[in-house]
Amino acid sequence: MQVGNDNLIIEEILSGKTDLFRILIDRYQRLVAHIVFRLIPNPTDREEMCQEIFIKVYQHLATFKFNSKLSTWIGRIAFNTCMNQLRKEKNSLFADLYFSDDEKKDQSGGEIQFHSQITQSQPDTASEKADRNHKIQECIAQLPSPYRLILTMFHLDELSYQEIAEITGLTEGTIKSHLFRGRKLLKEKLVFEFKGEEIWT
Amino acid sequence: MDLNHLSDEQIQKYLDHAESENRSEIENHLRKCSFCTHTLQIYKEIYHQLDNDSIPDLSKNFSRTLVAKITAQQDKKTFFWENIIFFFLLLVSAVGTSYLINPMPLLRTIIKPLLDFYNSTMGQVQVQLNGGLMIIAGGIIILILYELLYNKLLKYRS
Repeated sequence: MQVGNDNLIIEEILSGKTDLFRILIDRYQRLVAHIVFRLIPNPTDREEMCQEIFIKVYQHLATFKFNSKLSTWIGRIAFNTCMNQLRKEKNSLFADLYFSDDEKKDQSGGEIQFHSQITQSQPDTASEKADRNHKIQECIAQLPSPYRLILTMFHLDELSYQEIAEITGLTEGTIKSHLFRGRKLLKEKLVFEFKGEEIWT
Repeated sequence: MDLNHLSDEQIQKYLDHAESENRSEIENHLRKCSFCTHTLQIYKEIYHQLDNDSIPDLSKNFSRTLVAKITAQQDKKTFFWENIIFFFLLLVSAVGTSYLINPMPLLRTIIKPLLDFYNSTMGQVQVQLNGGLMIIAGGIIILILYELLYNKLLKYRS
C-alpha cells in the first residue's frame, strides 16, 4: 500500500507539487538519520548531511524507476553520500572491521571468562536496570560503525538482509556475517563490562 | 548437542527464527543447560536493546525547512531563465522594430561586422565591436550583474 502511495506522491511531485516532498521526507527521515548518525562521526555535520541527501533525492526523483522500494533507493543515496563524505575526509569506514590477531584474541577471551563469572541471578531494582541499560547502550556505541549501522538497519529499521545489501552494496552473506559478529562482539563486551556482577535475570 | 554447549551462531539463529530444523533439539538442550540458558538471556537482552535503541531525531521543522529551501532554489532558477527569455524577446523586438523602420542601416550594423569578424584578425575584431555587438555584450553583463545581486539578496532573505 505504501509503495503504491509512494508512486502517486512521486508523480505529483514531478508534476510540480514540490510541497508533497514533505511527505516523503517525513516518511523516510528516520532511515536517513539512522544511516547518517551511524556513519558520520561529527554531530554538527549530521543534520546538514541529511539535508544534502534529501536534496539529492529530490533532484534525482525523476530517475527512480520503481524497480526497487523507495526506502532502499533513498537508503542507498544516504549511504553513498556518507561514504563519499568519509572518503573526502580520508576516514576509512570499513578499516576498523579488520581487527589484528591480538584484538581477536582479546575479544574471544570474553567468552571464556563468562564461565567463571556467572553467579546466581537475583531480581533487578529499577536503578540497577537503568544502569545496566545505560551500560549496554554505551557498549553499542563502542561497536565499529559498520556493525552498528547494519545492526541498526536490521533491528531498528526492520530491513531485510536483501534490503540492507541493496543499500550498502555488500552481499547478503556479508550482511549476515556482520550481524552475527556485531552481536557476538556486543555480548563479549557486555560480559567483560559486567564481569563479576550478577547481570541478567 | 547435549554434551556440548550451544554456539553463539546457533543461539543467534534460534532467536532469528532461522534454525527451524533443530529448534526442538535446541529447546531440549536449553531446558537442561543453565549456561546456555544464561547466554540466551544475554542475547535476548541484546536483541531487546537493539530493537529499542535510541537515535536522536532531526529537528522538528526539518521537512518544512528543507522543502522551503528546495522551493527557493527552484524559484531562483526559474527567475534566472525568465530573465534570459525576457531579455531575448526584448532584443528580438528591438531588432525587429529597427528593421521595420529602416532595415538597411541595421543590416549594415549587424551583418557587416559579423562578416568582418570572420575575415579579419583578432586586432581588427576590437575595432569592429560596434553598436549591435555592444548591445548583446552589454545585455549579458547586465544579466550577470543582476544574477550576482539577486544571489546576495537571497542569501540575506533566507
